[in-house]
Amino acid sequence: MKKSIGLLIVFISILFTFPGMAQNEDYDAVYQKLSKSYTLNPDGSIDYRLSKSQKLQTYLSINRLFGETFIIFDPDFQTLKIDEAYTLMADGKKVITPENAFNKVLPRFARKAPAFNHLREMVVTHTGLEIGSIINLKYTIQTLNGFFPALMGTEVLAETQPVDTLTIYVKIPQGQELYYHLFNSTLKPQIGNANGYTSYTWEIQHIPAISSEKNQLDNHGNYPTLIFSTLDSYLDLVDYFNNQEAFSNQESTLINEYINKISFKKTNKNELIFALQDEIVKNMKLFTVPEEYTGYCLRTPEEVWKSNGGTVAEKAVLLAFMLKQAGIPAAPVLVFDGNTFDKKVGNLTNLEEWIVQTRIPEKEPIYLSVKQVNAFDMTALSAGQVFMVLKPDGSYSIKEPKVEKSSAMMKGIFTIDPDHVLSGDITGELTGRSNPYLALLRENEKIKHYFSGFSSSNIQKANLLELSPQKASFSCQVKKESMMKKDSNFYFFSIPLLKTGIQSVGIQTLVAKRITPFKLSAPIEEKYEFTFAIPEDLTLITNDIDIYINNQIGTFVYQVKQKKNTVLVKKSLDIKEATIAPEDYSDFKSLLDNWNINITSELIFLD
Amino acid sequence: MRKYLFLLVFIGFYGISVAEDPIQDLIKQAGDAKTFPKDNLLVVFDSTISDVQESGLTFVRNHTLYKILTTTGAKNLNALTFGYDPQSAYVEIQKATIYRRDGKIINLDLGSVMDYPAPARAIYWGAREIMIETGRLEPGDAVEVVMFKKGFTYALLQDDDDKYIPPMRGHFYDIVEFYSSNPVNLKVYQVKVPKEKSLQFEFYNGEAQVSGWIKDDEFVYTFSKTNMVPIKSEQRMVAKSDVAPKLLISTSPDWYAKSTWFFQVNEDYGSFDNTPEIQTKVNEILKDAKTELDSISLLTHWCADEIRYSGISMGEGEGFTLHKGEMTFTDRCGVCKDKAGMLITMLRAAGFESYPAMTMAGSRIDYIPADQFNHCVTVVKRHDGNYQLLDPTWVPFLRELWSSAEQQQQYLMGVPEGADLATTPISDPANHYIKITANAELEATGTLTGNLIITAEGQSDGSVRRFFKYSNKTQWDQNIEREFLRIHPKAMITELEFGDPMDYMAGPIRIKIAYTIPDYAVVAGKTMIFTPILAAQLFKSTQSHLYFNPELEKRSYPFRDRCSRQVEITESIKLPDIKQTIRIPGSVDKTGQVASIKAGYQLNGNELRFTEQISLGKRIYKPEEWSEYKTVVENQNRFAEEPVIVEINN
Repeated sequence: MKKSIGLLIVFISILFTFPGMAQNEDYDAVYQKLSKSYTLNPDGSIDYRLSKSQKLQTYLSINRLFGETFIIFDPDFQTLKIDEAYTLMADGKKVITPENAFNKVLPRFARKAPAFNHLREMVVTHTGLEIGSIINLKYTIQTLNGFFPALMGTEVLAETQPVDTLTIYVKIPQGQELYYHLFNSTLKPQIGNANGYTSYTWEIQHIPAISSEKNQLDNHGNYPTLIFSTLDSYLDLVDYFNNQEAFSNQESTLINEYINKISFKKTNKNELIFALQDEIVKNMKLFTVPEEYTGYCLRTPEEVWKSNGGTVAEKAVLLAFMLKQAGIPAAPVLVFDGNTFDKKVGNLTNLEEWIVQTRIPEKEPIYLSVKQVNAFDMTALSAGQVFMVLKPDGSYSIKEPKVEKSSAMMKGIFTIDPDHVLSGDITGELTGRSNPYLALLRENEKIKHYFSGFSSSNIQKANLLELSPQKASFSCQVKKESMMKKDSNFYFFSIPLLKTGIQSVGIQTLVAKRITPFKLSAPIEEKYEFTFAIPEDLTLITNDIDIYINNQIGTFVYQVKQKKNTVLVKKSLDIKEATIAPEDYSDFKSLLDNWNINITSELIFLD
Repeated sequence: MRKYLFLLVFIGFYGISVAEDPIQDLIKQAGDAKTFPKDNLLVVFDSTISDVQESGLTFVRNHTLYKILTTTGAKNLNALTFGYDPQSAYVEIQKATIYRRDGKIINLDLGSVMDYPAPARAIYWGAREIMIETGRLEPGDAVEVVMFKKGFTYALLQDDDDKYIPPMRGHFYDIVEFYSSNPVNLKVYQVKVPKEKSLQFEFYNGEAQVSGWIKDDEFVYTFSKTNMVPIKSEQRMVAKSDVAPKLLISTSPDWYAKSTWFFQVNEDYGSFDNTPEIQTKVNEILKDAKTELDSISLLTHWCADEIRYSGISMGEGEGFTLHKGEMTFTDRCGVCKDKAGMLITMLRAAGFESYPAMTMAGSRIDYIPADQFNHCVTVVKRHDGNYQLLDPTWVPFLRELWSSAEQQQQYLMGVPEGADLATTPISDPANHYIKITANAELEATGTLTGNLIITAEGQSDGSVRRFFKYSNKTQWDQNIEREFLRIHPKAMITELEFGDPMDYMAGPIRIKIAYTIPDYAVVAGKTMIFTPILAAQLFKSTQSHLYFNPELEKRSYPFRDRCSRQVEITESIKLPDIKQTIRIPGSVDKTGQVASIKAGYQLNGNELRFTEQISLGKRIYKPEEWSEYKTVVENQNRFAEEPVIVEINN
């Protein structure tokens, strides 16, 4: 991890020391000026002002990227004022944005979500756009006191297009404190006092665009990111939630009736936990309303239940409530972006999602999603994030799931009979991010679904030998009639794999160049050892193979050996780090490319 | 009495005895999840009465009863929403009642109906929705809704009910779908028209029970259909409205009337009036034009590229009225009709005779003159007196003036002399060729090194340019690289030339690529196994037919590709010294009426040559043409799946 952080700092230094890595004219647009200003007024109201001057350089920018500006707000608590909107055409002609270019619509995420029907999205259609034109827009959102629990914000100090000058400006009444943390940069704010306010200004010039490369760190975690708040801890924010009626655990007859009904059918707590998760995930609508537009206010569990839909936060609180009503310990959990979390800056704007902590009797706590029936515990899926567990007594605890090495290992002894039917025994184990702990906890037989090369009907018998959050080990008997694909006189046999290994990451191809760190969910070790007894009429034509690649990032091994009618196959991949620095990327690509090519993925026999 | 009309009709159909609460009886007898095991929601009945006034203004009452079959159905019906355009339509929920499975009846408070601006992207004309929350429902519950509506989706007039009168004053039309994504036990549509109005109608793609009678001063027509089940979709089938039961009904005498009305309404508004600024721009655009077609092409592509698709409202008259050229020229944005209007204005400024036309992108227009339009284009009269279609909305960065993705599509010109409904012609596949020529050498180690040139024209040119059009310049090289990586993870691009892909009028796209792919062939002793990269479907995304699933044996419905297409592929590979061929996939030569393929390998010494010539003759195909079409796809897939296997010397 320390190495990863070091690499990030090196990368950021490069990025900001050599802004000419890509020329501005290569981009679709350039922000000549971008300014975001937050002001906390003495009466507690908050003004947010955005000002941008953006030059459009391609038709893509005009037609798809920047032709409209979308501004979402809550008219019950916020007032939107357009301060200035015009376009300077390439020849300097000024086109004032006309009245009919300002249209309020319902934000798409609020569609069929009655509780959020009051939200609005102002669409500013920029007129007079052409190559070389400059969009100028200034607007202010004024927020009433009490809508937000504090002045707080998260700002990535870079955009998808280059920025000539970026200014972040935070102003608070003199005498109050601002707590902030700028990640991935040593830039200090200019602090000034005037007119009863203390102001903090971060100004950066010539900022390169955020890279569009895939598999980057979450939430642009390798770019300078500022968080700020008028709170120096999360205590007040936790109180802000606990003081809401949604957290008061008031009895609900309706919900109790449902729990009683469903409890009656379930023989143990496991089943009940997962039945309740199913109900919340599958049978209730998910309203994907970002919490910044709700003021972090939640409806009560009964209101959510009656409306048959809720936000992620509301569903998490409802599930925790239902579990508690069913006599199962449970707590809602806030998940924060681990790259921008500082417990001394009370900030909710880097809140990623809500989940639920619960506990099966005599086992470790498990973490359930309310967006999906998660096969993997959320500590595995969200490793590197920060979990804030809201305890029943009103306090909270922090859990930081570590990015730990995952492993997927399998051994098999198979016989291919003269009819080319494959049968045999396999054993294996899965750890960390590769261990579908919750899916297996729900149903041990689910292990049958985690093989690539064997369908569940090929698995005649499956035993889970061990199951814990850390590890699942198994043994299975398999039989498959059409394991080999016949092509002329050749038979192609795909080597079986575990689906939760590197295959699950979905990176079958990697481009040659990389400028940002490559992020995997976890370091991974994957290892297979198979022995095949083959009939006399089959000849392995690939002969013995021995590939061994060991580099800065890890190791790839592929061995095939034939001894009379026995073929031994070993295939393994060991990636040591979850974050691959650009300078190590070619090593990483070498390992993955060799892992993915046909010659290391199949055996070829001649009849 | 009116309120129970539907019920009486329903009871008539099903012979249900009238009990104390007929709705409850209907719910009980309608069926459940066992009766409809594949469905989540059942429409017990869906009944509409349209009452047409002399002015064409129509009062519509709709009465629907839904029954929840599953929890998914319950989830999907947590709120009832209805869209409308406040400029020309009025919508009201008059009753919303939940019937619980246990017999409890809950009348929803109509005061809780929400009326709000609809979510929108690209078109911001002030569309609204109304919604009422039903909340938590359970399988077995039912929801009854009574709606009242008046108006149209566009209008020109603004006094009291006048704004709900259709722009073709006095006329009425409707398109009634007798199909649904949910099973429907009974659908009834009844229309009442003043006796002096002539009504034309036709029921397409099926049958319905139809009756017509005279009541007082009105003709009353009733159409009903029972036990409707959702249509089973087929991959890439034409629009459901082309094949599913539907009723078209109209008082408009013919398409000529619609055509002349459309012409006049825009002339009256002054949609195409010129301004000095527009004239200056036209002169600037045409300064190097040498021929009539030069001028038409330059103006069409200027409107296509420089007027972006984004619709803001002109207020009164939005809908069928094209924005004035002045407005669109200043805004530099508009929807299809505004782009078409800008082009008409510019063409007229350049001395051409030009008019708007309406069409229906994505589905068929049937001959009853009901408004089946969703798209607007331009026609220009050439010097030979013929009209030529131009579509500035569908040809940005495309080397066509009329998009051939709109071939076999109906359209109606808004010309002074009037016009009948017409259909766009088939575009020759040769207008949309894609040619790839590759030369490579395969080493005994399995490394493949080579170069290729890809060129394309028409819609295929547009498909190739997609590698550049929709991403930033800094990503262009990697877009091509990814195409090779899709074939093999170790592929490396060593040279890449594509000129300026945004300068599409300079000529057909041409990309030159040099590459090397270590371990491309599987080398097992002296055996080499490989598939030539073009046989492996490099640049597959430019051949949309390859995304058809050929495993479907027969089709019940017509199907559609993006466009007609011609593919010509030639790949020559110099092989290591060959001892013998073990397997070279067999050739195919199938010439059909609408789709043909000729492809195969030739081995001359150590040079292996793969060629593939494909012709796909049109955009929309009949079901019986599927066998020809699938033969092409199957064979291309066969060449991709069957490797070449050779034995080499040392």
